[in-house]
Amino acid sequence: MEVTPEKLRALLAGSESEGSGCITRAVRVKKIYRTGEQETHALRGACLQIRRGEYLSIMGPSGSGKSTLFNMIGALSKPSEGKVYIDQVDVAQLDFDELAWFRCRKIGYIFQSYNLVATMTCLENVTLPMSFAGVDAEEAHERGVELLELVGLGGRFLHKPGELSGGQQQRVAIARALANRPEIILADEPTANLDQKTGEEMISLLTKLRNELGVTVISATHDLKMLKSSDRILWIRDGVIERVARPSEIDFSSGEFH
Amino acid sequence: MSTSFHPAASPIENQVRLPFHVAWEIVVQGIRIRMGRSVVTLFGVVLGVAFLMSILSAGLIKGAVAGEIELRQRVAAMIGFLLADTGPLPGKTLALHRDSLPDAAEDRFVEALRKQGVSEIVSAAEIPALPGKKGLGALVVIGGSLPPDIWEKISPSLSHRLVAFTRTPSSPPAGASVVQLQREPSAEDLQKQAAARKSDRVRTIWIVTIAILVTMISISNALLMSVTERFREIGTMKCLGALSSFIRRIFFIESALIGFTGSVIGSAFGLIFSLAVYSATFGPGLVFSSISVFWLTVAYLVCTVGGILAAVIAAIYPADFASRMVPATALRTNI
Ligand SMILES: Nc1ncnc2c1ncn2[C@@H]1O[C@H](COP(=O)(O)OP(=O)(O)OP(=O)(O)O)[C@@H](O)[C@H]1O
Ligand SMILES: [Mg+2]
Repeated sequence: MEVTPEKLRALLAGSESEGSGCITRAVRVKKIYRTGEQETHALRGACLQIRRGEYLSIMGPSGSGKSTLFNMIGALSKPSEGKVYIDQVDVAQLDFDELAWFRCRKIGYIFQSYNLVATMTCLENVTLPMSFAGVDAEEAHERGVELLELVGLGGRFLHKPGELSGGQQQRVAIARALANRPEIILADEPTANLDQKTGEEMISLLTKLRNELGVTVISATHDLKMLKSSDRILWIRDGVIERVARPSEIDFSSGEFH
Repeated sequence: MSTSFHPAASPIENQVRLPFHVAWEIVVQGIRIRMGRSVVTLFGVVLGVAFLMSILSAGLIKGAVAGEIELRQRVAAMIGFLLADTGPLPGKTLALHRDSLPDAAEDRFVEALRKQGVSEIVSAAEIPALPGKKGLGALVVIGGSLPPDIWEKISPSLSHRLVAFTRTPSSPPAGASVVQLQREPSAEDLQKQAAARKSDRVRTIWIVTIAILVTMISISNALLMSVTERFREIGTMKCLGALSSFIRRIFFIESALIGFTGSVIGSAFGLIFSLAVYSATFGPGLVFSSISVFWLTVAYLVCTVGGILAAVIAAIYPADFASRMVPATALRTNI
């Protein structure tokens, strides 16, 4: 697909049109956490449009609201103010059942802390979302094996997460995120615990999913390689989206990245 | 864009409801893997139910033993009164007339007569058919009345003209010496007994209520702990598409399972404990001859079913709480 510079600029700036090319849209999203008397404004009116099939990286210092933003656009929690649309659907309008369906089919989550179910084997962790989606056991088993092989965990189907290294757990989490062929992959530091080689493999896996299958990838990361292979990079600070840029516009040798 | 990966842009549908066995397998596997934790939870249930069962069965055993002791005393007293008039019984023959249905003490009394070495007990009704039967000792009447015609027919065969009534005689036969083996308790005694029974019942109800509360609290505490430990797992499952009803079901299955196992074991422990304590106090012979297997079985079932119910009721709050948790909160460590 040929992209004209005008088109690209329009996309990077966040299109004003609400076309179907936009898979996730956040409109003036605010999130206020109340702990006792204190209020934490984790997000202060974030606006965001993510194109279908886009690879978006999010950067920001610790406590800037990345995880909060992920929770909002991943339908894991409701904003205090503002709206989140995923695939044209206002998430706030969904009931518990529909949300479950939505999380199950549309989004694959890769958590910073993996969040594997400790009592289940790797394979069962990967097949769990498939059984929630009603895939029959045999098919789920087959696909689970394929996915684990894809992330390079061939011979470890029956290990418990506790018996794996951090990087291996992260790969199980990636395999699990792909289980129901999601349209969106939300990843929080997916390469943080991987060695360089597996990290690169995972990046190329995500890029491949994006290029070949049109999966939208949204990931928080400080990994230079990931930043460089993304379509857009978004900076967030104190709950405000500060800057959006293409990798080609950024000087990766500046101090900010080291 | 490949169509095999995203089969079709489908509208939002209702999430699949998983069959029961999926939840069951997840629960069983979870219990097996977290064996240590499960055993601790189970132990909480066992303790609670064992406590309740020991209170209930102790009450039953105590009542049965007290009844047995009173019965034995009554029988011994009856034998004593009879012997005072007839002298030692070995080798003697007694005539027996049943005027009314015998109660437990009177039944025992007849048995005890045999044990005293009475050679024969002849039913009064048969005596006229045995003309010339000699050597009959006294006539024992189970009850308080003796029809005069029976007395007339029997009296010639008696060596002692002695009639022993187990209850207050209504019309003592003429020309016979009459013994009353048991006294009816006086109105005052009856009143005292009723008062004692009443205060006993109040105390039992109080203790059982406390026992039920302790059991409930111990069970819900154990289950609540095992739920709160797993908020994160619940959050994870919700992110992967688990329905609230599925989460709730998992907790109910787990609670019911632990409640069932714990109650079966706990009731057995409680029963064994009180049997052992009472055996040590009164001797196993007395305890095992007096207990009612039926009522102990009832108590066992009540405790087991009660334990399971308590476990399921205890799971309502945590299960509801867990199933309604927002995934982001459940995960705590956010995404
Ligand atoms: N559940 C919560 N209750 C109260 N405050 C919260 C909660 N979650 C996040 N916050 C606050 O919101 C702000 C943003 O947090 P968030 O987790 O989104 O940061 P982050 O960008 O993901 O940081 P990190 O890179 O360290 O993961 C922080 O100040 C945090 O203290
Ligand atoms: Mg974070």
